[in-house]
Amino acid sequence: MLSGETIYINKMQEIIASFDGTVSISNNAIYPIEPGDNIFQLHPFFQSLELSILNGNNIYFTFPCINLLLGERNYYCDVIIKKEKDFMAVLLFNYSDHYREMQEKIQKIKGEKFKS
Amino acid sequence: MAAVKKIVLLGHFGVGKTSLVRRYIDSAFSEDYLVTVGVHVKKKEVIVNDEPVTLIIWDIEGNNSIEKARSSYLLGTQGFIYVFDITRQETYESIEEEMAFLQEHHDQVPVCLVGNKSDLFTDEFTKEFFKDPEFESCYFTSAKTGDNVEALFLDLAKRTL
Repeated sequence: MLSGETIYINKMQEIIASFDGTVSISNNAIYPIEPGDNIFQLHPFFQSLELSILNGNNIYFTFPCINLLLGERNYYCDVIIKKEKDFMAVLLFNYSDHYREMQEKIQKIKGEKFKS
Repeated sequence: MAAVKKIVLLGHFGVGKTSLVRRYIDSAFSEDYLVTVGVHVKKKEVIVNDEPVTLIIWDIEGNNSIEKARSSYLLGTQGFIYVFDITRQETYESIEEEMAFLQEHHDQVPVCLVGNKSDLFTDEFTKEFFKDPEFESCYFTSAKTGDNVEALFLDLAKRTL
């Protein structure tokens, strides 16, 4: 097995939840979530999407670069939510390093603009 | 149980969206400019007409036009705050087009137009400068002093109900 094969597995958390938000499975690669926890209470980001997910016609939602304060750590994640027949899958991709690097680059450009 | 309302802040880079949220949520302000990438989501509970309302506020990265904002960020929005910087013309010269875009794509969603950095008004440069019709119901706020910030969010909360 190549050493790099698990890089993305460690950056991706798969959460399976019922439509009322109750989590049944989580691989906890990023943040520990117990079965029985509610995904809509995990963070206001999810709470604000509850009605759109439950009532909308969309079955696939993608949200790039979401800042999530989970526990005491800030993460930048891409979030995918996929509605299946009897459950929803929530995938968190931890791209914190990438987005922090991007933030620093943009900060330099925009910061200079505001100084001038 | 509190009604939950998703509020999204729109506007160019550097107009003070994050500062407004920080002032509103944390009663704090910093002169340092920190670029927002992606989205930061905060929440605050308010009382409107004796009922609790949970405002979930999406502070999204600055864009020169709403069309460039990622559409998924706007999904399910129940109130918009469009922020411009009163000292930078480029942040408000397309207001008519921006409001027309919201009217076309989110016609049921209330919008508050906000001229931020009102602490920079002077004896010569006053609110009267913004007398064109598109600014008629504009809020003038200062994240620095807190002026009008609470009133802005409370008004929008009322309009979402």
